[in-house]
Amino acid sequence: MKNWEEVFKESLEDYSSSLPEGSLEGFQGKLSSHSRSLSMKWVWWAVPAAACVAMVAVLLYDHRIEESVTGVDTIAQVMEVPEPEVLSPVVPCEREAQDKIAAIPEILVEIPEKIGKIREEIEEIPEEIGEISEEVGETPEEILVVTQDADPEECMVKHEMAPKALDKINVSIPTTGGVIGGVVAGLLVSSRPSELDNSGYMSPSSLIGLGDLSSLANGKLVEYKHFMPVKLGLELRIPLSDRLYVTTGGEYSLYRSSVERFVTGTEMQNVHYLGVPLRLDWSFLKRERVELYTGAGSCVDFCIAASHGDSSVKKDGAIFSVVTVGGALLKLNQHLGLYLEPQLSWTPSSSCMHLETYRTNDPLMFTISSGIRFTL
Amino acid sequence: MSEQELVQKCCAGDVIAQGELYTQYAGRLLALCRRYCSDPDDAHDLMQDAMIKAVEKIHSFTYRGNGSLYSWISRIAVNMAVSSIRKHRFLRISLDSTALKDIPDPPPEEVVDIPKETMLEMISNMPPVRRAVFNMYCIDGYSHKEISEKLEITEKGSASTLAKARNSLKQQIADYLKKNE
Repeated sequence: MKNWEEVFKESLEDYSSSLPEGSLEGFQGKLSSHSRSLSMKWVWWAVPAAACVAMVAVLLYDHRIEESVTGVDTIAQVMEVPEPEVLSPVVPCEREAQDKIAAIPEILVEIPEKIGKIREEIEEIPEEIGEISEEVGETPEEILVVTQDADPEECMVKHEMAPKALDKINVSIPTTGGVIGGVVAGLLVSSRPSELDNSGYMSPSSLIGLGDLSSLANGKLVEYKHFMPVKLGLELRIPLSDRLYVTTGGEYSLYRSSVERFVTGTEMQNVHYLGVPLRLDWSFLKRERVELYTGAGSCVDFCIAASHGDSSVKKDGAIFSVVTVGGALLKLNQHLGLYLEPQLSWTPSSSCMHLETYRTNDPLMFTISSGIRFTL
Repeated sequence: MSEQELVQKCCAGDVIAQGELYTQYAGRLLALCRRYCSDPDDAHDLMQDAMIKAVEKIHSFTYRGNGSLYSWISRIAVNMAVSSIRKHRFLRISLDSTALKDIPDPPPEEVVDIPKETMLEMISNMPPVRRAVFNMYCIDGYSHKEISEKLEITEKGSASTLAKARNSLKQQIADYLKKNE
């Protein structure tokens, strides 16, 4: 005996509804316009394909490992290292610093000669003092201040004054030598910008007046080499239509740079970000296992950790960027898939960006992101 | 014109044959689409889109006997309807306490007397996913596995949705029969 479901089935499976008026004409009109759009269908395939090719070409042309040389001021703002006292701070110039570095060996050779000359001059001082004291001790009255056209009476007046000026000065030779030597040493010190390190050693750069090199000698930055960042994501895709999706989720990024310092050598800078992307994606090719798509949107990256070698440094703030992607999704099942996604992003400069990374040198940046995507 | 001749002429791009194809199958296809759509206008649009797609892909059709052409076209229509329901299934949540009740089966001899248009209306009154599962399982002959793949739900989900759809229809039938005693 049939049940009510079978009755429904028998009644409806061959049931034919009446068509509204003009249905056939409407169908023929739709069919002809659809045929015209089909002939241009190749355009809708060519546009995303051309966009992908153009993006890859731009990326290949523009992509490079960034090298930069920054001034002292950059690391001075970032590093948690107390700045040494500098007597005469000088903002260095790269080329002048290099010229001065090159001149160090010659200057080092000249230093002993200069020291030798100073010693000779110091040794001559006691002799001169002796000569002066001999002159003072003999005939003070005979020392006259005579001018060519002087009045004899004026001269006699000066002569009378002379004995006061020519009173015997009782000064010992060691004391005199010490005073004069101290004056000479003081003149030398004051004429050169001196900078002592912790051991009290006066660096050669300070003897030749290179304040900028001595500041570099305290560990300031010379050169960066940036590596392409690593990006891993866990994303959610919400369908708006058959081919249009909103993609969001979380994306972890690691920005690594090699930092070469003047004295201390090379250190690695590691900066970790957690980003939230928000994008509109369009799937232009959908198959059972593979899907190709393109999209555009934005991403906000939050810095969660930053370090130079073993020490942590000041982190960046929230960084906003505009992103365009073209990627492939490998479907594991109805909802889960693995994605591989070349990205082209533009990051405007911001006061929140303190660290020198791959993206600070060039706002237009190419990266490759991969991860797991869940489709609703 | 036989089905094979019709197919051959449509493949050749004969406009008259395409019109003939529409005239022969549009009515049945519209009834099918009305089972899957709540709105009659949406059902008509879906029917025309399915016919256009059938004409486009007529080259891929393989004749397998009498009635195979309509089966092929109806599969296209069902796939399009289910695809639309799948995309929008999160936009509506059904809070229907009737679906959880245990309602007795209506007597088949009374169900036979229900007009077909009323039956279509009862089915289209249900929420989209329930409507699709009932149509696919009870009328169009799909298995729970096929339904779960097309709607992207689990087989258990398909079975529980079918139970709710049955309860919902039984309630509507009972209300109709009570009203028309």
